[in-house]
Amino acid sequence: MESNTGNGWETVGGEYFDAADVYEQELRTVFARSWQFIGHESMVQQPGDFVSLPMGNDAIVLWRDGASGKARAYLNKCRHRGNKLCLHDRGKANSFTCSFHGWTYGTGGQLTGVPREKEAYRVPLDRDRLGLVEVPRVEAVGGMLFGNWDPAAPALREYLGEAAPLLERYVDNAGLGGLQFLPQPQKYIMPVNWKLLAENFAGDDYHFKVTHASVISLMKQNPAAALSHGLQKERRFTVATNFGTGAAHGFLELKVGPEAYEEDLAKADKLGPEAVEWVRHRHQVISDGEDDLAYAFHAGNVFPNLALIGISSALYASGFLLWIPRGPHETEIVQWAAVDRDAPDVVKRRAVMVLKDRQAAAGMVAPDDHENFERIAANVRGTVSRTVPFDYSMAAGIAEQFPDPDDADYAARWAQRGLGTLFPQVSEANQREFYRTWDSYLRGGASGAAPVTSEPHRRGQT
Amino acid sequence: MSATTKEAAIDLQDAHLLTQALAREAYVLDTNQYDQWLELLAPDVRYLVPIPEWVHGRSGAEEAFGTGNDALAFPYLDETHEGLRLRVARLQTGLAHGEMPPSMTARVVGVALIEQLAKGPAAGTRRYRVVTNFTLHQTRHETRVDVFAGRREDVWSVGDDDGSQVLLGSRTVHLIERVLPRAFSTFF
Ligand code: FES
Ligand SMILES: [Fe+2]
Repeated sequence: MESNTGNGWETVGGEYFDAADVYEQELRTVFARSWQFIGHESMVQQPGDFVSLPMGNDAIVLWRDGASGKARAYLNKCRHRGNKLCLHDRGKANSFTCSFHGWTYGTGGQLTGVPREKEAYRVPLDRDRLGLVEVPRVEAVGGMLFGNWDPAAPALREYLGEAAPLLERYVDNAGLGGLQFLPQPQKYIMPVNWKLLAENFAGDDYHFKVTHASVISLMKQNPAAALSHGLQKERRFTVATNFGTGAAHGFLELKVGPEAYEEDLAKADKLGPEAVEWVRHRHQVISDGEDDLAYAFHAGNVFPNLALIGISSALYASGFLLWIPRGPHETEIVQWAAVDRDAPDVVKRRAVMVLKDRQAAAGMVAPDDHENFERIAANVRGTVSRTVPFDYSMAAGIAEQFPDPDDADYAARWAQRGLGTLFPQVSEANQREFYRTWDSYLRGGASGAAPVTSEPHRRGQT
Repeated sequence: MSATTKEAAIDLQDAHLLTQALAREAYVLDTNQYDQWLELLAPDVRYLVPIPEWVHGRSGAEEAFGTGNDALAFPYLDETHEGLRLRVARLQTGLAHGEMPPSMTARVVGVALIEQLAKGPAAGTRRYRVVTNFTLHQTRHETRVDVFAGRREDVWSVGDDDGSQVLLGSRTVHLIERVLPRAFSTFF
């Protein structure tokens, strides 16, 4: 297995979390050329079904096209004077008519109606030129839809690399009916640069015991509170996918050993036999006959801005969090809950409530993250303060990652599965990987696969 | 004359107790006396904060706020007494960074619309629908003040043995913010 050598990102300048020009450059590079989550097939099942959501800092509409049967994504913008076209969060419509001069568009994005066209334009308007601006690349893994503004981008599957089979197995498993998204996302602001949130989900298990000490303490006082997804003793790892090569998608708390499964069975027992049966069935489908495969991972970040939470348990809904950049110091979080479609209702309801109680706007986890991030954001604004870099040097350059030979052995076997490179649960490998990938986009890489270099992008030097 | 220009008279004593309770609630929350807040809640309270959204094809109040009654929803909060008690217990661990030091808050509760409902939950009690608008101003750092605003649809009960107990039986908080200003561990 690969050693966790440094990649040049053992420190990251404070200005990358503050400077307006760096932020603008990210929008024009990272968000213009990487694959971003733009919803799920289950959100728009019937022709005409639509949802409004952001892609980067643009507003788009995901709309099921009747003619092609495809979920297509368009800028939410009339081609005449740029008015906002779709005014609802979700619904069903076979056309949208602009409220300014009345241009009308169909589900295929075509301009279908222009009021008083003959009288006003005299000659027929070139409607083909004035259809909705469509996200040129929309591809799916499982039912998860990703869009890319770069027509020349590598295929989604190639971009996800080792992350694709992980997502298909643990997150959106066709054998469990695929995911069913609940229609309403929570939306809330974290007043901090989006990268700090992304790297946190990609690799920061280190913060859990301190930042979320109140939750740990509560779990100890209330063992019956069924809040615990963090105190088991099984083997835990961090997963780096496409390590040192492609786009870095990081996953946290890979759980190896029977404990997490047994804990789920015990909790399901309280919900009834239907729930127990589901937990068994789900485990069988996910492990697919492979005995020592991990039960689950808990959280992750798909580069650049899709975070996952609650993947760890059959009784914890999958949280999909989009980090929407709203400025160097502001991130809007759009957070959906999703459940396995085939799960019994009692499990679905319980799972959504657990997500609501944990990593969600009013959960018992996010407000403490919020607090730390807000403090950090204030601290990168000072003229001197912003020149002081953050430190990411944890175990960088240490060849022997695993003091325990059993861990090392397991990591070696995992690597052969093509599901990524394992690191200890507490690690900063994924954070360094995140910045390597980010840097490659800022340097002009279209694929995020630019080679690792020993001299990362440094402000004022490239 | 229409229905909205006529009001049914309600017991003045009960109306007084209800407005006192609303003021008391805001006061104990603004001063972080969470245990006292929990005492204002009925043991079977339901405390719901749904996600506000605009849904195409719905009409009236539901177009903007939904019904709060979807079979499977992902609300901000949907709590029993026990769920709220756990949240309070977390704040009281002394480890909840998001409230250390405690936020400075000011809750401003508007004039209450009070209507008597058919029956009290127990003999000798009366039940009221109480609707109030509110704003909550919250400061945690130097200059940033976060504001939450919305409408609360409550059911309160008044009266027990000595006739003066006032309890919140249920609350639905319709926030008017599409994007909340922060992750929150506060109560409205
Ligand atoms: S801006 Fe849409 S029709 Fe003129
Ligand atoms: Fe956290």
